[in-house]
Amino acid sequence: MQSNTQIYLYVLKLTGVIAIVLSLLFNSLNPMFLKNKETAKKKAILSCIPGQDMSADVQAVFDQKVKISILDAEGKILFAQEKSAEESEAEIKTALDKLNERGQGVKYSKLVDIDLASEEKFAPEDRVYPIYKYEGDAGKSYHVLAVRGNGLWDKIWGYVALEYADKWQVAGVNFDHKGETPGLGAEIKDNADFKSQFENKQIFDEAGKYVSVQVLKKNIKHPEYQVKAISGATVTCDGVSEMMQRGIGNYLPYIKGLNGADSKAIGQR
Amino acid sequence: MAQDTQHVAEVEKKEPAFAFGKEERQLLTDPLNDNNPITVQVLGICSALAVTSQVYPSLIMAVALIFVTSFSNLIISMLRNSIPGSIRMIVQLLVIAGLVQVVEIVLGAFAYSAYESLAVFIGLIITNCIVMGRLEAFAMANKPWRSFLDGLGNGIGYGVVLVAMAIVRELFGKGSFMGWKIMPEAYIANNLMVLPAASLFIIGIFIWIQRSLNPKLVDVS
Repeated sequence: MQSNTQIYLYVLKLTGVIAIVLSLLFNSLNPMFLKNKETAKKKAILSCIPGQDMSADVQAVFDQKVKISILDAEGKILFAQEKSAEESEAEIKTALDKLNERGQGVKYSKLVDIDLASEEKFAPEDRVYPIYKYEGDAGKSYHVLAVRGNGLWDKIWGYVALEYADKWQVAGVNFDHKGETPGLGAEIKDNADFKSQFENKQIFDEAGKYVSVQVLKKNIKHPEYQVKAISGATVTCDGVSEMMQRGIGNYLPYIKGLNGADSKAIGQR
Repeated sequence: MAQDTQHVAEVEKKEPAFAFGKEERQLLTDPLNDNNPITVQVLGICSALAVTSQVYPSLIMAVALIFVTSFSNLIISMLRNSIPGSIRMIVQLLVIAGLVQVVEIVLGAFAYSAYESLAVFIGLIITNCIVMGRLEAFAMANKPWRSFLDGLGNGIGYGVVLVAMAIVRELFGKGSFMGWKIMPEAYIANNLMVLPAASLFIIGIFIWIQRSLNPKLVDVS
């Protein structure tokens, strides 16, 4: 029987060795992990844009064609990446100040990497939302929004690419989830047919009222803004519906501010 | 004559450190059939339910578990004489948890898509009964090299059953294999295969088939 001191010493030594090994490994490999995570996020955003060659270098495409903006809860643009350097500096400072008001040391790198999951920590009026503007060929531009909601077991989230073609419509979507059931709820991510239903669906009805794209089990009376749910995944699809409704709703002031005419102008540039 | 017996005695004492004789080979082959961790020892069923709806995550899980079982067996076997008796299980858990962290960090850096597809299940390897089970049943009482082989064998036995289950579940539940569509268009996917309940009866069917084919398992309870 060993004495207590010997046991404590043993545990200390063992934990020390394991801690050193793990920290060395973590510090050397974490940059690669973060880079992978970033690439995965950019891939998810680009996959909403129709006609994307997903095998191309995601980082290069993103840097060339995507400009990031940040909106506050009222839809005011806090920061837009497309401005020139001088205009940007003042804007960056305002944006960083506003973010720092929320009580976090925020650097520029965070501005271009807003993550809805961490935004949930803050009160709704303090949150900021990212917009990814994609400048495609022939002057066609897409606005990719980030949305987040609740599935059956855990969180779901995704990106919605909007385009203006006489009216606002969805160009493509990408969904992901934390713990939905494979073959059922997880189909929102795995099933290409489910996602392709969202293409060309409108978010405003004939009267101009905001309806978002609704996911229904049956009785699809308005196919221009309603899609069919996955059978067996009712709760998850209700979650997707709610996520779209609230998520796109967060950007409404911005979308309405863009106004069809302006967007057409952007489109023609 | 006296010199001969002395010589023989000396040779017997000096066992080569990395022998690979009949006994060692058995450590690798037993868990494949006669002592399979899932179908005979009935351990590690939880992860067999969780990840086997598709082949790709099952492969990654199998590789991860082979790594964790073999190296935890090796490390605990090397430490077996110095671990204080009262904290035996805690030390085992420390080693297992450390190794699983290594797997998570390495996967995240080098195989991100595998990391994403397994998500929470990598961490759950810590709770997998096979790892702790082999530590207690073998590594605590055997030398390092043989413990390593035992861990390797059990991991491979687990992997074989896992991938077999996943092939069945993915083929009938989604009509594909590793993501490629195999079944014809007319095939309506059997959604039951995708639910965890299906793995329970698939394991049952595997055990049934194995016991009918393997005479050594007839009286095993």
